[in-house]
Amino acid sequence: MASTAAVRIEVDGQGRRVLTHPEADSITREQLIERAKAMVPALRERAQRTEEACRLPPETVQEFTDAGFFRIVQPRRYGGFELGIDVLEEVVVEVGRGCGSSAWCLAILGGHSWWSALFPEAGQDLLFGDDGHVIMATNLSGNGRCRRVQGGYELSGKFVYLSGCDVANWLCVGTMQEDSGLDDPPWFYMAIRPNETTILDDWHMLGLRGTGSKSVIADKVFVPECLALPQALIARQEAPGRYLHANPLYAAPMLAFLSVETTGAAVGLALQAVEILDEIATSKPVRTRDAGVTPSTWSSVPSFRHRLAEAKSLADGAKVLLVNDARRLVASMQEYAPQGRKMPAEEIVEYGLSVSRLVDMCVQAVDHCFAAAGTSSTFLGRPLERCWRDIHMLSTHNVYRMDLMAERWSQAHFGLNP
Amino acid sequence: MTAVGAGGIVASIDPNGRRVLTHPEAETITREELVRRARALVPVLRERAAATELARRLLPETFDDFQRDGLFRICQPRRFAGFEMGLEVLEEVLVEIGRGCVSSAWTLGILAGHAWWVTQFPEEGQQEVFGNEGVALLPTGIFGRGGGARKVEGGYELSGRWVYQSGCDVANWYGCGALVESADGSPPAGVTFIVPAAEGRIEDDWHVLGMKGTGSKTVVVDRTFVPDRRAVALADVDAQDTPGSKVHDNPLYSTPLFAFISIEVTGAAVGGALQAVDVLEEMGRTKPVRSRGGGGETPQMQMSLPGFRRRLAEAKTLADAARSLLLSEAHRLIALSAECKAGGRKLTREQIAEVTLRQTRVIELSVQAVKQAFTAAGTSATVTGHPMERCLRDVYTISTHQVLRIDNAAEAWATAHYGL
Repeated sequence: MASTAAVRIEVDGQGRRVLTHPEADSITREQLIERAKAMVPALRERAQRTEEACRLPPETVQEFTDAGFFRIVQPRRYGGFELGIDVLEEVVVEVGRGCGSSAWCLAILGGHSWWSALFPEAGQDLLFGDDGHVIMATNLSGNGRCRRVQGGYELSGKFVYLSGCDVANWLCVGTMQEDSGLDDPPWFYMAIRPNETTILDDWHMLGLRGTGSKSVIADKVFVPECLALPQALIARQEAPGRYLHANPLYAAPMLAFLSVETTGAAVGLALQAVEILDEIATSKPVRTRDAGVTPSTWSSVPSFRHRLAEAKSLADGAKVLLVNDARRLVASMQEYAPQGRKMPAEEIVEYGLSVSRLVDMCVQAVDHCFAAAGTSSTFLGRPLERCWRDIHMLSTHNVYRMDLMAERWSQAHFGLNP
Repeated sequence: MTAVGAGGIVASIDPNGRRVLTHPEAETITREELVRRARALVPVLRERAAATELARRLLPETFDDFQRDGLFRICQPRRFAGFEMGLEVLEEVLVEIGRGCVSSAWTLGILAGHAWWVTQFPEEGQQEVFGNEGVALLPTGIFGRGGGARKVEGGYELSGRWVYQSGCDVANWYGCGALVESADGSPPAGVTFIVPAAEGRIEDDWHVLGMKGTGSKTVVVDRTFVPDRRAVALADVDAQDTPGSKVHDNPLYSTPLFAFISIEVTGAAVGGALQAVDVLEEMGRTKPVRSRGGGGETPQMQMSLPGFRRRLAEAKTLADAARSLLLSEAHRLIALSAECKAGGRKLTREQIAEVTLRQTRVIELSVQAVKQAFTAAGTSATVTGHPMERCLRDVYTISTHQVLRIDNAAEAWATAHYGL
């Protein structure tokens, strides 16, 4: 864990502890993308094993850690690189060219270094610790139950879909306070340690198997006050972290950020499928009755070439749209945050609407590849059948369901009550 | 030595002894200002859209608006009284204009884009075509299929018929591609010429489904003399080695023609898609839902229907995505040209084909957006002259353009990719 051990700890002029990653001043977007590109062959080679294990292999986690991928959107003060979400997405896209499950986990776990930075200062001190090494799995829409106790809360509940929980060192879940005595009880996002919970082996799904998005059970886990983030503050775009960190990124609304966060995995999968089809085109012979003389490969078949071009323009288009959305989020916050403004509800939902469009393009891209590749690509373990399962699985996520997003956006637009 | 001509254009001689035309706004104009001007025209363009269709040409008053706002000068060299801005600025303007009138946006795209095309010609030819006021408005049939020419002393003798000459009614020049017979019996070579509008004749044959207001009629030229300075060989275009590409430093002018023209007018389609979304959004707030029991109480509007809202959101996200992709691509192409120029390289055939392929995706997203909006709008929006039915006809018509058809672009890219 060389890269985490080397974090420098100092006290700044205001007496605050500051963690500085040795690469904090030198790291660039280009370097991070290069590191991700270099991992693609190994990720492809491990993809089958990742699925079978239903979790990220330890070596993949180690490589992501060493490359600093979990620190991309993490505050510099807590040992992060504090780059934009666009950089995270570009890295996730490259990783997704290798393995969809690994990309999804990286997006969630790496993106939640941003989420950790929204907690109260004391909470962030705990979360980021002495090395700034946070790998946080979450179910933020969870419905746990908690009660007030001395110094904090006691949390219980079952939480589903915690992608990457096996490799996480923190978990964060949504919970309602049941002893508030209020008609409209307060909700919190609470951070707890994985070893305080039980992970259930219940992730047996169509795709994205390697994400290991299992259920977690918490039974009367103590949560200190500073690790309970009130949902009302998040909803009002008044997270404590917004006032702690100067970078406008930490004032971004949760739903806008989360909509963009995981989308790189979809784009990576679409690009992976296009690359696989391109490879098939020059290597797979066309079988014909009179074959045998000089077998021609599929690149000689016009309809095959058209499918490839269709898929490519969809996948390339999706990548451009994703990076544009991520950059737009960064630019919007640079405009809003210094003026203390909040992002309007309609604009927040536009991110969900937009990413559901581009995920649909990714699904179309993979479907074109699937149709062109033929039956031989449907053998279990073939990368294309895995891409197909992964992208269709991914498209069922609430954030990417056009039906939901269209309804939310149009209600916000026309000012209707949900 | 300077002289101020019409429109405040200042003529001067630079240290290299070259005549320079400077537009009075050349130093001050910004992308934001141009987009603002385009946006300000939207209401009046919507008002004129039906009359534009009926006239089957860009209306003189719209032409005047575009002239006054400097919109034809966006990609034109500063040396010839242009603003010399990137292709993405032209596209952003076209998108706004297209929200008002798709035909007018297309015509603007062709004419403003072809001011760029003039920069590929020999320097003396550019001086002549841009004239004293830097006005070069020319539709162009670039490919050699429209006419024939033979070499004569100092130039060519050209004849032919060129179809689809968008904006020919307001043009002061025509671009005419032709095959030139060779003296030595080798196959004829494609050459593109520029001819004064006065030497051509318009045939009024533009009776079509959509894009009526572009007035894309046929231009006929009969045995006219064209000097060498107004000729560019297609072989030089293919080699990305046109005479004009060496005249200007800005990498904008070393962009390959076929990449440039595949983006040039796409903003019109995206504008059409956004217009359809605007129209549908308005209907959501103003069109009552008719029901059997309706009439008595306060009528519900279309926006109360989840199915309607769903279509609106679908159309919006398609149109927004088309715009986002278009502007990024326009930016990417010019950046790619700059990179190639700095490295002394040309764009590869595959890179050029990829630009076109991505534009066909932009068109496809635009078509889908209009289709969704049209479906949600209902039969009342199919009354002749309703902006929705016009958007549908216009954007579908654009999608039939040879350059923007995915079947063609897919094959061009794939054969380049596999070296077939």
